[in-house]
Amino acid sequence: MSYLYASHLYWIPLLPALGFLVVILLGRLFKGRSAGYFTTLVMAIVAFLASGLLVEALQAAPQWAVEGGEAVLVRPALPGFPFTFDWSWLAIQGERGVHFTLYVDQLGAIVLFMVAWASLFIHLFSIGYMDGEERYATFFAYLQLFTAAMLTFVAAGDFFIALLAWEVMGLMSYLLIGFFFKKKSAQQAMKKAFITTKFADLGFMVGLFWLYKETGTFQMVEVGQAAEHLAAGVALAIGLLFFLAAMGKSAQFPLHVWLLDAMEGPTPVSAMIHAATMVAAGVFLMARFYPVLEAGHALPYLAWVGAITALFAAVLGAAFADVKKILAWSTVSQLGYMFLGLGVFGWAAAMFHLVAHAFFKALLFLGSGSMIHGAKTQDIFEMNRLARYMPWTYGTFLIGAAALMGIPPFAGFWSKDLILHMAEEHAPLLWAMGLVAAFFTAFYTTRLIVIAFHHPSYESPWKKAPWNQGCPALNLGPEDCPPEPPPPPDHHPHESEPVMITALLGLAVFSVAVGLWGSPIFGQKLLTYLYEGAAPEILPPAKLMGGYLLGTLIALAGLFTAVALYAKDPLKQRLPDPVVAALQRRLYIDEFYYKVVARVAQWPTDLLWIIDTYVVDFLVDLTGYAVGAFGQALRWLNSGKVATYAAYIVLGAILLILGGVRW
Amino acid sequence: MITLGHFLALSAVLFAIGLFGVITRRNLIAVLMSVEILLNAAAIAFAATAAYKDPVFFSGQLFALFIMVVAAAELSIGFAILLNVFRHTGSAATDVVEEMRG
Repeated sequence: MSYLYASHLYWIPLLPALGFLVVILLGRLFKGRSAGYFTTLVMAIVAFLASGLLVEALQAAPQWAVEGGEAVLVRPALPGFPFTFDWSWLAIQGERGVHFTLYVDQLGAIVLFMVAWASLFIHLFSIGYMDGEERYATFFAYLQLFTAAMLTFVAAGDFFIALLAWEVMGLMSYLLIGFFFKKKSAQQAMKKAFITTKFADLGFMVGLFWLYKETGTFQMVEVGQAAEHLAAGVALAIGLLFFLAAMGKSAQFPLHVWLLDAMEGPTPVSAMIHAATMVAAGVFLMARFYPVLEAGHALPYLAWVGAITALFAAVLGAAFADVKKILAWSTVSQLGYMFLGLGVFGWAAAMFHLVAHAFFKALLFLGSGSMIHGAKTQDIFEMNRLARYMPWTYGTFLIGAAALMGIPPFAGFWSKDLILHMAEEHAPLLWAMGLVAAFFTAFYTTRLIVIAFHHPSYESPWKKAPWNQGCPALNLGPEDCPPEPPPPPDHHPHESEPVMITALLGLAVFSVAVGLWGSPIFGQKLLTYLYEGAAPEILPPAKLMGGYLLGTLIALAGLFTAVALYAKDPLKQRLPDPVVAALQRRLYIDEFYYKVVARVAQWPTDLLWIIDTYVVDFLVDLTGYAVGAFGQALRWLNSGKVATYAAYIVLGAILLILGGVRW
Repeated sequence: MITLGHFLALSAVLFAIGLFGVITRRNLIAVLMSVEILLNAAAIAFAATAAYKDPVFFSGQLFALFIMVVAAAELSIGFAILLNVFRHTGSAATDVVEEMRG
């Protein structure tokens, strides 16, 4: 059996990497928008290849059917599946070396498909959105390298390669958050993101080396087989180290702090890296690492962290005024759902949510980019009746919002309810937290839509509030982080240009389609595809009906509460000042890091500085002085008289001869 | 009977004279002359040793010829340097060239 696309699957990560090289090396040749068109074309090819790969995976994967509540294997996997590609790297004369292994199973194929298409639409959108910005070509080069790294990470069959791709993603995230590096807040935000995620990545490295010591392999399949032989304590420790990395990358409490400030980057970057793909990499890593997590009984930690994050981020999302930051909280919260899903054995449910969320959140973020582009402000209060001026943006945003809120029949409804159903069976308390979070999700999304799209422009209450002066979350005062100026009073919002609308429409189609694909309406095809014979998520719709009803009711409750509160009087503050201040300053967690954690961490740093300055530097200087003094002492030998030198030669010759006679 | 020892003694005496001249003379021309004496001392040693010990290949005699060629080349370069030093400093003494003093 030969597979056309699967046998060439290495082109999928390779093409954007080449695109990066071309654009970064020949940057000056790309005038105007040509860099955008070129990289979008590259992504179109990659999306085509990834689609072909998914089709082949769908044909070759084992096929399951649901019959009477039981999963029945209809046909086992065809030979050659999962697709692999192996290239031995750094192998010296028979040593194993590091294997550059690509491994595409059911999950890998669908996530590759998702990343490629989301990236294509985001490239397309950026053509218009970034128009006229400085370093236009560089932006697209960065996007290309990021996409290459993400595709490598998803396709990686080797944890070492995954770590490399993971770090490249971290670097591109850093560079793209700081794309507008002339702003102090962007400089501070890029450092914050980098340091937070690097701290978490230590877990990945230490865990990986430990894992290698225990199992002797980096290969994911072999690790999966070796997992059950690990001692439970070791598996738990390694699992938690990997989970630390996932928490950092996927912005889970208490390492969520960087994601909000990552919104300093251009909006397409927020859509690509900080909503659809990179932040989901943590969830994906956990999915790949599932055997070890199960062996070490680490899943309850995932579930708890996920549920806490889902709830607290959803609540905070309702307190913010910046459209991108509301969506960022929403991302944190939805990622929490995914970890909750993984933690309560809902592996396929979490992966369904991952793919669905990527599409609808990319859609929402690009929609917010379109809003910002049209309204010339990021503050929802300053936006002026956008529904009237931006019908296409409004329509697509509603589709994304319905998916996020969990309104049937949109994507988030099916995936989130499946996660909640699994939670109900395994952890009722976390289920309750998930339900409350779902209420707040519907609430903040509706609040955003009502205020931004339907209300006229107001003076922003956020900018007036005394506790929001400067950027306390970035440790910057008002002089370093002045509020963005409101749009000029005569500014009329306008609809964005066709390339941007096309991207929005494409993502809208995908987000609806993916949701339907996994829904019982079409026989939960996505879930049976992902099913691996052990997970119990394939349930008859009758069993899910109660959950569906409850989910719909909760979403509608959140929606109507927000309409009731904000339709008439959006500016009224209903909670006392200290509560609002605490919510808007993110429960002071960021400030805690700056004021306490950073200072405590400074003590050992200071100690090391003293040792470095007075011990290490002293020794280094001493070496230099000693050599210098020795030279001074021998200076008289170098008299400058030729005759003396001749005498030295003779002396040396005599000594050599005498030495030769002796020995 | 003149033995190899006599030749080697002559060579050693010439070598010592040449060495003494190289180290003590201040005039560059005298130094070059002393170098010639050194080279010829070596040539005598080669030729004599070969004449007594190696009557087949004449390798020592060949070395003596080489030394003559090298000496000629060395002298021409030495005189070129000497001329330049003289033009530069107005003197042919060795101790005026002391830029390399430590």
